Amino acid sequence: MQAKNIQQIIMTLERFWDGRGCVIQQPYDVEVGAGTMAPETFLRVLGPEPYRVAYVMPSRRPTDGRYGDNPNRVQKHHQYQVILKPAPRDVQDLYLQSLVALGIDLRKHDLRFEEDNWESPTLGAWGIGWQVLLDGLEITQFTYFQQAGGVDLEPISAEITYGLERIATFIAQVDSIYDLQWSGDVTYRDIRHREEVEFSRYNFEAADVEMLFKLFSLYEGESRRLVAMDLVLPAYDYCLKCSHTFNLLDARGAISVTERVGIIARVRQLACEVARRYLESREKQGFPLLRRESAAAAAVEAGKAVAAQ
Amino acid sequence: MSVKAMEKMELVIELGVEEIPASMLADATRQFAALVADALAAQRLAAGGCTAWFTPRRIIVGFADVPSRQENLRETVMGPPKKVAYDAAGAPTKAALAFAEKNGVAPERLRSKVKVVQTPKGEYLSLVRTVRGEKTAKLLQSLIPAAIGKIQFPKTMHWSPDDFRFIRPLRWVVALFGGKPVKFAVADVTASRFTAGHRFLGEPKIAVSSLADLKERLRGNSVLVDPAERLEIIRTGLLAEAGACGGKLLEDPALLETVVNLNEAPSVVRGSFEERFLALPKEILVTVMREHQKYFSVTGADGELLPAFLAVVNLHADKDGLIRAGHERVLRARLADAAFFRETDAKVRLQDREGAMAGVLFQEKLGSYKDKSGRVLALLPGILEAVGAPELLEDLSTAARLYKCDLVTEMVKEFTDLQGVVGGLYAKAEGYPEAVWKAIYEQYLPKSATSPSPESRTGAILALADRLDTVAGCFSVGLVPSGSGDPFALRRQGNGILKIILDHRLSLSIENLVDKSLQAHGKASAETAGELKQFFEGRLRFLFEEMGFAYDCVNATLAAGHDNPLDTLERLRALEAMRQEPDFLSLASNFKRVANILGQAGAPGAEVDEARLSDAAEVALYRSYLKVRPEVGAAGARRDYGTALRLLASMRGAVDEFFTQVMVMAEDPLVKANRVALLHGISRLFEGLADISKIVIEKK
Repeated sequence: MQAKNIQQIIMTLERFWDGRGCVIQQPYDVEVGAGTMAPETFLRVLGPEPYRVAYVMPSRRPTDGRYGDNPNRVQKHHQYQVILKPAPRDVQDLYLQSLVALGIDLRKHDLRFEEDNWESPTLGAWGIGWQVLLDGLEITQFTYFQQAGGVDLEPISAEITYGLERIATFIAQVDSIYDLQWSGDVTYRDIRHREEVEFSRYNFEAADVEMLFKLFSLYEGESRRLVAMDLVLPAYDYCLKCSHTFNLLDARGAISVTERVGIIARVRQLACEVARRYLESREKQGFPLLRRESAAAAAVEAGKAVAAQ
Repeated sequence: MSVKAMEKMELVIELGVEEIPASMLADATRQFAALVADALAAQRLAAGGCTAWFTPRRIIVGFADVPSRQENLRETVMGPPKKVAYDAAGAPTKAALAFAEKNGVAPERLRSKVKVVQTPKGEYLSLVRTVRGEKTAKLLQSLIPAAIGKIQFPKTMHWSPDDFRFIRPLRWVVALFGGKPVKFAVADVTASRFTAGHRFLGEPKIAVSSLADLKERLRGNSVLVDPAERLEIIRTGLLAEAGACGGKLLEDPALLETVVNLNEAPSVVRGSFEERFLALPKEILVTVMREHQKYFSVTGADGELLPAFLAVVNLHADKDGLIRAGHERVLRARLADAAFFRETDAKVRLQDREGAMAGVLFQEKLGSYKDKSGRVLALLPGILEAVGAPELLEDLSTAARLYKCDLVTEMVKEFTDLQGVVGGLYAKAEGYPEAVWKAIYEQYLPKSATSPSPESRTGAILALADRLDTVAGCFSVGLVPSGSGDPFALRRQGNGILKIILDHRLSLSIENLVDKSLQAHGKASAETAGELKQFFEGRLRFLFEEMGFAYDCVNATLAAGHDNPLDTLERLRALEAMRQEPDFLSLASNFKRVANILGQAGAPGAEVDEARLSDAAEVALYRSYLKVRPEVGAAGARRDYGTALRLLASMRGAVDEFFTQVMVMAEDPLVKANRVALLHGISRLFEGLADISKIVIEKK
């Protein structure tokens, strides 16, 4: 059955990945630039514990704002993020099946995996993978994580990041994301256009640069203070706030190229410290999710059975 | 012993990999074929013809006629010394018995099998051992996985529980020897006889029995394994579709190779875009289509672009036009973006972007691009004066102020490859004269030692000054290339400087350029200048050898000076032309003696004293020397190096005669000093031309 609008696409993906043993998470409630930055990815990929998770992540990229005038660029878009840890052997096939579940006939479209290695200097993370192109449109980033927070990963996680607006424009064959249906009778424009106009003005014109620089320092200090107290998860929230504040400053043109490298390095230091402490903390807890490894495997089997029906 | 003719069988290996990056595919396949071939050879297995194919999901190699087992090997093994191996009574000791046993010789056969041989160290036991050849199928079990692990990739990944690293996860391996599977595992994959077809048009599990079978079954499953076949299909398709829209394919060999490497079942889809986008410059349209979408462009009879594109897709056909519609939608969005960038950029003139350049870092220790532009501006008057073109100063100064301003345009932020080109196009649109906009447009040329330099004179000088500033600046702050490390590509930039000088026939002194540039950086230093001199000598040598000059001519020419690269090239050309002349070769061979004698004689004495010349041959040589000296000087002064060298070669007879008749190292020290002075005078005639003692004379 063809998913017809954005919420049907989301629901189809939720059902699909629920059937493959994923925890269906909710979007994280701190601003992030990408689903990768949410703790359910950045922290869960660390260490030996197996994990499968899927969630929608509204992703803010202030510099991509176009005042609601550009049919394809927005300062906030939606990713559908899937982490499979460890990466199963048939992970590409699973991904392709999810596209079929969305109603895309892969024998009639040109789908390809083209080299695109993902790297985030802010998170001290990188991976090897592809961008997935469907009739020339990039719809997904597919990555085998190799390192996060400066830590070598073992086992390796597969990350599938669907661009929901991209997939929706492909399915609906529209030229502008504002023409997408969000639900049966409400459009993307109805819900999001005003937000794009206001946030573009805020990001590019109105954001108080001096305040943002102050906030950056305050958030950075708080993250350091918290991590030293072994409050790793709150410390990571403040690391994320630093990252978003940096993005806002960048959109305001307040950061010169020289400063840029230095500020990214400061955020990376926070992320690497959090990653290290998080691993220690999980180890102290005895890596709790390892205990349910066999249960997880059973869930996957059950999922296959469901899919086969 | 009669040996049954060795059975020969086919070896087939297919590595099934998740999509391998297009740029690495061909090289990885070549490597793998060579690794397997070498490993077979190392096992004394002489294989027949090798086949190597690839697709984005597979690397395939086949070897015909691989022997089914190794030949037996007979080898001589040395044992203990005779005096240890036999006792006084001549009976074998424990040492002899142990040696025999270790090599499979029973005690009773020791006397017939084990010999005593004479070696430089004395008498030793020795025997000839036969090592039975191993079955090839068994050897392959370790040989193939080892070869797979040795393929080098620029960047590898880890995915399986072991430590194996590869370009992307390995998902299946076919390994057949004589049609039977070879048993081994690599990473988390066990080799078998099962391959997989096209992702969407083929079966996922297909049993195969030979290379030919693999090829045909995969063809039946929509995979063309031979890249040459895919290339042919794509080329034919591109030409046909370009013709169908009434135009000509804009040839792009690099893109063609890429799409061959991206598709298993290629076909060509033709699409179009709105004519209004043709208002964008051709360079930008082609870049949007090529870099982002891997589309080919089509030109009309006038060479201008048609509003069409050709995409290569991984399916046999696009019956319902769905794929075309999808690609058109994507391209429309891309072009709309580019048009938006053009519009946005047009709101700010290049000259009003100079301030913004102050915020773009060129290099941490060397400041911003605004700083760079200022330094280049300061270099121009000196360069223009040296090349005798002061009239270009006004246009070049304008260009130098603007030439990096496109770095802060939206267009270049999006299409970084178009740096310079965008600036040039914008300057043209803003009405700057051709000498200005072309200089900006061509500033990144030449791209390599073999690609063209800027066409315009202003482009050449701007490109030269820009690179000079980078090279001298980096050296001045210790960023010097070493070994394989050259993060700022200074060698390439050095080559660029020299290539521009030679292509545009600019008569310039490197020392002078370097000094001026170091001054502009505020870092004048004799030490850095010396390093740069050496650096440019190395670059010049590289470029000359790249141009095909013989290394000894290059050595001889450089040894006589290389501060002016154009002058050096002209001397080199003259020398290379003379190299085949018998007179010249004879002179060169005598000059090795001259160099030796002068080396032994130490510091040269006074001028030649004519009164002391006694031998007829030395008098003749002196006359000859006096005759050619002013003529050589005059020819050299007008840079007629061919004539200068021919004049010198004309002394050949006199020099030959001199060395036959005259003993330079005469007993009378005054006579000797006089002869040395004569030779020294002659050798000085070559100064600034070539050190011909460095010419290598091939012995007949």
